[in-house]
Amino acid sequence: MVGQIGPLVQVGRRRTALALHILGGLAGGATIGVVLGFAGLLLRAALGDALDTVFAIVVPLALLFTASIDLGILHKPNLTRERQTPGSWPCSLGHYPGIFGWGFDLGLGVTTRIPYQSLLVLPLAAVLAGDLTAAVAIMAAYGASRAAAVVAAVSSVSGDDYAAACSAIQGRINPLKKLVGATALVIAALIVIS
Amino acid sequence: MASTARLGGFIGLAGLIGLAAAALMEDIAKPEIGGLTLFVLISLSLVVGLSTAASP
Repeated sequence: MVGQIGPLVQVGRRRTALALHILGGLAGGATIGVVLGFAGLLLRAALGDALDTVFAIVVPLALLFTASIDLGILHKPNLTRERQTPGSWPCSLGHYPGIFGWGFDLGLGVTTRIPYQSLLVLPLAAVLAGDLTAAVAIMAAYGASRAAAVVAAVSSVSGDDYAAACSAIQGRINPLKKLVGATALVIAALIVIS
Repeated sequence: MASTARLGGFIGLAGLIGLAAAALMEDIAKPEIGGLTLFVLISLSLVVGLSTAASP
């Protein structure tokens, strides 16, 4: 994404493009949050307070499982999708709508490839929370932060060597995987004791 | 080439803003799952999201 959006923001107004990308991520996250939140409300109506027990058991267990994959303890094939955001969008949708669309697509979380399996617990937790506001908050935070990470990476590139920046970031994937896995374990423990 | 310090600064700032928003959210929403649980889940969202800059 950095390699794609980087050269594009050189063409138009850079700040507008990057702001639209973050807005797209926020909108994508909030949209899937609303969908998952409504599913959670249906579960809340069906299960009542028992849903809180389901949440307290299932979410930490899911975090434990996905964190084990991210930490390299369990060796499982990637559970997330391999799809990538279509590079043609700025051409087919227009410059700014395409950049917004990329953010939206990334913000949805589950439609594109992601190297961290712990991500999958977020939509699960959003449903099992049984609370629309919580679901929107969880997914919107993800969408906005994923888009913000792209913007941060693009903004930190000096000159126009986006390919080198992309390679440098890819080189950090394994340590970041461990960081995400460790965070997921801490969060599983915090949910159990809270 | 990306400047690691600059990138780290951006990411750190985004994380801090996110955590402040999460803390605010916890007060406003009064979620069924509990404020602390929502806060830690939003923290996980931020960590996973901010770690994916190079993903397509």
